[in-house]
Amino acid sequence: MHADPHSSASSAPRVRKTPRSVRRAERLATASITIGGLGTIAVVTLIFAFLLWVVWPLFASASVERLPTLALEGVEADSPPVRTGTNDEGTLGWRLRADGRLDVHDLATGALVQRQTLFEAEGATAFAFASAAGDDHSLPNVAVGFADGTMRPGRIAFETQYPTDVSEGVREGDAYEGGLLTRTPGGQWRLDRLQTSLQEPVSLASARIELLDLSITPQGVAYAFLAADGTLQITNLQARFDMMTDREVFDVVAKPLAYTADAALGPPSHLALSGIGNTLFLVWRDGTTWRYDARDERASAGYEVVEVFDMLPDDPEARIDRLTHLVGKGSLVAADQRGRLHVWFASRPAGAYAADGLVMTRGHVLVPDGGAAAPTTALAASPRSRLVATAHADGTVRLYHVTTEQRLVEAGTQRGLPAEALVIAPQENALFAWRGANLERWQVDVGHPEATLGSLFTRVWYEGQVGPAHAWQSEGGSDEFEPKLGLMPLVFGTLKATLYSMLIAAPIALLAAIFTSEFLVPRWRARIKSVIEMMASLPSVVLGFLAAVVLAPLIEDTLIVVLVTFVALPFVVALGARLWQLLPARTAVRLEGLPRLGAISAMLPLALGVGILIAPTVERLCFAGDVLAWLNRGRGEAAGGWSFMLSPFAFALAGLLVFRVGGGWVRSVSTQWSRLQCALVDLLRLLVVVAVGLLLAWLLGLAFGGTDPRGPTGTGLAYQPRNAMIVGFVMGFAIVPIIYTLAEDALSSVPRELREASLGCGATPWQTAWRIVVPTAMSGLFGALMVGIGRAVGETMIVLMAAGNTAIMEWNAFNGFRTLSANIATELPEAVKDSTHYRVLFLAGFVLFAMTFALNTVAELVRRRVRRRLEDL
Amino acid sequence: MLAAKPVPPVSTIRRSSLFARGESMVWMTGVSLALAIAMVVGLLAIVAVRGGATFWPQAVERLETVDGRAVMGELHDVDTYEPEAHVFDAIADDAQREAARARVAAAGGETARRFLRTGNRSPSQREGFHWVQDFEIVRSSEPEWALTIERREWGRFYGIPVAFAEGESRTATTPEDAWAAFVAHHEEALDSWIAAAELEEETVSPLDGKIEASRQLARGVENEYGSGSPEHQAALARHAQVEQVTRVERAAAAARVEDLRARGGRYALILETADGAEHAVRLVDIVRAYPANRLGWWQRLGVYAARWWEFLSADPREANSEGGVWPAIFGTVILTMLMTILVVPLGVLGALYLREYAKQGALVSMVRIAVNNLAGVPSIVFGVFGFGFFCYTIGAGIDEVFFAENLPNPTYGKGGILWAALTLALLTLPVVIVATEEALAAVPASMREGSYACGASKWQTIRRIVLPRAMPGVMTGMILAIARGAGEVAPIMLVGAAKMAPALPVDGSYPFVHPERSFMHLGFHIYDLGFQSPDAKAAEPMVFTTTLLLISLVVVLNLVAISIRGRLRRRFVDGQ
Repeated sequence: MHADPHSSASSAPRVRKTPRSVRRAERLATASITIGGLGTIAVVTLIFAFLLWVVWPLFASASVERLPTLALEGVEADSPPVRTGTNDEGTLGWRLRADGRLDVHDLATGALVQRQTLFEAEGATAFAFASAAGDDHSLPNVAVGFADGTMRPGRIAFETQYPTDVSEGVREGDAYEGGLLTRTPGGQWRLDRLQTSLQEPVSLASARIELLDLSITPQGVAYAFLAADGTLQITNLQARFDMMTDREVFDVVAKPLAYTADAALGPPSHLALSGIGNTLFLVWRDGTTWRYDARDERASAGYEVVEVFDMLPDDPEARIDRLTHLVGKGSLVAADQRGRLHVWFASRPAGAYAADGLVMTRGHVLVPDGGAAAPTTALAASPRSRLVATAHADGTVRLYHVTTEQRLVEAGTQRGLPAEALVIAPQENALFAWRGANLERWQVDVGHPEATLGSLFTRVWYEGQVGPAHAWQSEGGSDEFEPKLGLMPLVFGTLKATLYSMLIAAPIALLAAIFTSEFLVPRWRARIKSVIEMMASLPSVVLGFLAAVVLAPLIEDTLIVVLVTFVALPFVVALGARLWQLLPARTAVRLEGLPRLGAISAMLPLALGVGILIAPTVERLCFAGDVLAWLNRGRGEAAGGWSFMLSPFAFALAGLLVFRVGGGWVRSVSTQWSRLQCALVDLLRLLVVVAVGLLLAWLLGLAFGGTDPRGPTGTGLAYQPRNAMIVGFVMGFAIVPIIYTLAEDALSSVPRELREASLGCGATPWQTAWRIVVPTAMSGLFGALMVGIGRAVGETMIVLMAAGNTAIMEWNAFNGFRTLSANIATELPEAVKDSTHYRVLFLAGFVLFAMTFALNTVAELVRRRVRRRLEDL
Repeated sequence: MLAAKPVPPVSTIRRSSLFARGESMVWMTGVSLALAIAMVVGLLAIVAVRGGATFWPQAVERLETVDGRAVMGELHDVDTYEPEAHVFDAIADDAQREAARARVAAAGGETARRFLRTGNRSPSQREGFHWVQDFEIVRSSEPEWALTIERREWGRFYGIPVAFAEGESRTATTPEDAWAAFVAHHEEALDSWIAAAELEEETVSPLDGKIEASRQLARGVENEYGSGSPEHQAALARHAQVEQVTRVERAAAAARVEDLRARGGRYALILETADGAEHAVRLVDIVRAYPANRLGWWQRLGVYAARWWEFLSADPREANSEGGVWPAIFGTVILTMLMTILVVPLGVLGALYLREYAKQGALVSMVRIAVNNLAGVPSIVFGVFGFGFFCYTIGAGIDEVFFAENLPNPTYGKGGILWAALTLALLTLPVVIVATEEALAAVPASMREGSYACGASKWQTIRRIVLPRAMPGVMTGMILAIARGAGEVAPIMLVGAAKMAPALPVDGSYPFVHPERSFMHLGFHIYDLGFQSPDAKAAEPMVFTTTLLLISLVVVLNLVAISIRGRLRRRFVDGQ
């Protein structure tokens, strides 16, 4: 038969060309799928990139830009200021001369905006300025001492008004009523003006005031002064309204301090009063410092020197050029003649020799590049953070961050002339140096000086602490509080949570996976697996809630039962197995399926019963009858606790002795024994292990009994209701299904031929499982553990609810911790956008991201390798 | 000749040694599995029992103690402890104190104490729970007419009805009559209350909205033309006029509402509390009341069902510790739906690209690993990303461009349901991609080849042959994503879940869908109620019930996913 090549099944002519609509659809689909697919993948990288983008500025270095030198209007070159200052925005600056003249300049143009005389020229001998302006408008922040022994407190502060009656024709930047007029973004007028006032003289001493300082304390303002006649006092002025004269008068409440002039030392050069107004430092040029403690309000006689130290201990020739306080007045900063800064603060070490338990320590030394610089001519501390600026005789200025000991900025003045006064603008965006009739200005971007790789991950010496330490404390009570942003306590907490939950989850999940794949009736395998998989999808908030509300109180009440049950469980199971062995061989084989699993499951309540039964005895023997009192209040001997804590090791050691060392011998002599004989001997061996283990535990307790695990105070193991053990249980519960599923997959994918060959050679199912299947699937099991760890590292809700969230670094299972994830969840909503805190929290997120991504990648690569290897088998 | 040396008999072990069977190790693995299962079952049981028991009406107990105190309430908890010596000092009478001490000593130094929910909180009496030591109880009874009253505010009230008040006049003098009067009038009172609320919603609220809209209009003009400009002055004048007219209307409407409210408010139930004091409770304040000790089994079941219904359908009261969780259910469902709408197309596109369009090579396999690993990245990291990227970057940008008149109050520049849905979509994206890829890979190559051989284009093959076969896999991925997304709390805490959202994200006011609004969520509700609640004890049962609800939701979703997966596998095997 001859087929006609042109005839087709249908009568319609065959279309050879693809219709245009199909082609168009094809192009459209390809384009949209490619765009969508690539977009999806781009989104994944976007997460990584965005986190980095937010974190990056943390590590950007500070930048500085010098602005042109300004000539200040109406200022003579030879009248140095005693003090200068700027407003918050750095647009207005004031300079006070010793003769009482106060000038306010526009810092953008140098124009004179306001001039006044604060006090009469004669007799001013000492000046004191509070480090922070103080927001309370009624409190003085300035004091001037005079030759006649009087003192005038006062206030110099910028105030902002929003005038509504500005006449037509006034332009922005004009001098207006002694202030600077600007427009707000909303279009309103804004007037910044310096407000000054000086109160009437208060008579403090009969001789001239030599040195003066003041502090704004919670109780009011405290003044400290040294007069020429040797009077040294801390004084509180209490305002009272006098009805007779109709004026406000001050009652002087004085605390006299013991001071006798020392001819060898000469007169002191500086006097510094602490932030709470009860510690006073007298400082000599050579660094000698006397510390007075005036905390005791009821002391009758004068307060004595409690500590004498040298602020410049390295160099006997050194002298102090300038001295200032850091914000909060908790730290003293002394600049020596080589331009180095020595930062001192009080700490409370264990063996303090001073009477009040405090010791002044030099926490930081800030050294200019090259180890030395020209003598310091001006020193300024930021009113907001721990930034310090220095000006040197060679005309350079430097900006340091004290806590992290970084030099952020180094810059020179135009003509290399030394600055007479230096100010860090309150917003820390500019630096101003006064020199004669000129003003040097720098625009500064300090970035995030308190966060460096070093300060985030290594020990940092914070003010008031005995030494460098890891600490996380992002918020404090006051503005002067220094945030402590060390990530190590959080990383530690994360690792602790992971460790304790893996301790619980890894054995349970792996062993359960082995049983499921090797010993479980096949019919039940799928069912049980899906039950446990269901566990994986339980929301973690539920687990966290149950941990905190159900488990934590339950375990606190029954701590000893829980602990004893966990130690007893392996023995109960081992005993059950040995009793099972007593069954005749044929019965045992017939019951190997579900009945055996039933019997095994019955071990759980049995172990609990044993736990309840023997717990009171254990508690009496090891913990003096009350485990919580033993842990919390140091009641009872250490030896008992050691015995209990080390009992798992003791039993393991005993088991090793009896089964490993003695096992070969028993096996060699047992070849001709009957099954029953073997089973009985095995039962006997278990009893021997228990006996030997108990003995070992007792001996270990005696051996370690000399050192108390609870530490010298007896509370080192104090039990907190929300602790690592609870988290271990519950987070272990959360990651069991993950490890289990992956491990079971790995075990099941071992080819059946391997098992059959092993069984065919005469190996028992257990030998096959343990020596053939598990080693073959080992990398898969490893991968499963990695994924489990990855999950534990990032788990948030459980630790947030059940871990107590205190950022401490102790391995103790009975106290809490704070993890990276829980920390983010609690603090991120409160963090100010783009602040250091905000960026550090993003860094914490990035660390989590990187950690889990790395863990999962390792697991995935291992899994792929295993799959290939198994395919080869 | 070498005599054949007698071969020493080889000891042939015919059965493997018992010691080689490793029975105890097998038991160890078995007990681990049993432990894992016991944990799941135990957890589900605890939640089911405690969550399920919350709404069961309990008997009301009245306890009188030796010092003449009497309390009445529902038993919340009983525990046994060893009282320390000073506990007995609370008993004033010497003889009775010694008697109590002797009773406890006789019981081995242990005594029970009952934790009674006594309710009756008021501005002056904020404690709604009392401990009663067993040794100080002289009489305990279950008064026949003790009523359990659930109030709109201040939680429960326990008392015996003595009279019924209508305005100033009192009717009914016996508990029975008072109860009958209550039953007769409660619905009427509630109806007028609800009618008042509806009237307010219909008449007063729109007027408030009108004033606010007019104010915003003026604000917008101010932003555009500057403060004090002629345009601004004109806008202010317009606003003042609108406000004046509307205020008059509003006052009239409010008066009508008040009138209606007063009509229901005149009824009150007079109750005698445990200490003998009389207390009036307005009927409109009563959500539900029942004589707890007179209820039969069926009636209890009725109360139980009614409470469940309220729980599922009503708004929360009393800082979320009473009432329902409807807004949280609604928020969870809407959030999950939004997430699904966002994630499924993206995930399917991504998987199609990876499996069908991209050139298979090292790069694609790397991308695949990365996508896989994204599933293991902690959810809080996605929260951090969403918080920084959606709320503070995209949201703040939208605010600047479109909602400048509300600044500095953020509109989109804060947590909201859209941002939460996007965050969760990112979180669940790998789940969908992986499931879809698997499903695509499972479609036999022969089908594709057959399709191509018939002259179909690539897209035609994918659309008509591959995707329909892969659909169950996509569905499985979607449901798994929903199950994961519905239970996640950590990320949405950062991007918009709220303790108490003033309004639902979808409602009747224009433009009906409000993607910028914060929302309530079942998971966050559990966290918030269990940990941030001012009255954690009272809230605890509710948390268990919410937990039960959330778990049921997630478990049902998972079961659906598992059954779909099972069907897919069968179908795939059949198709071979």
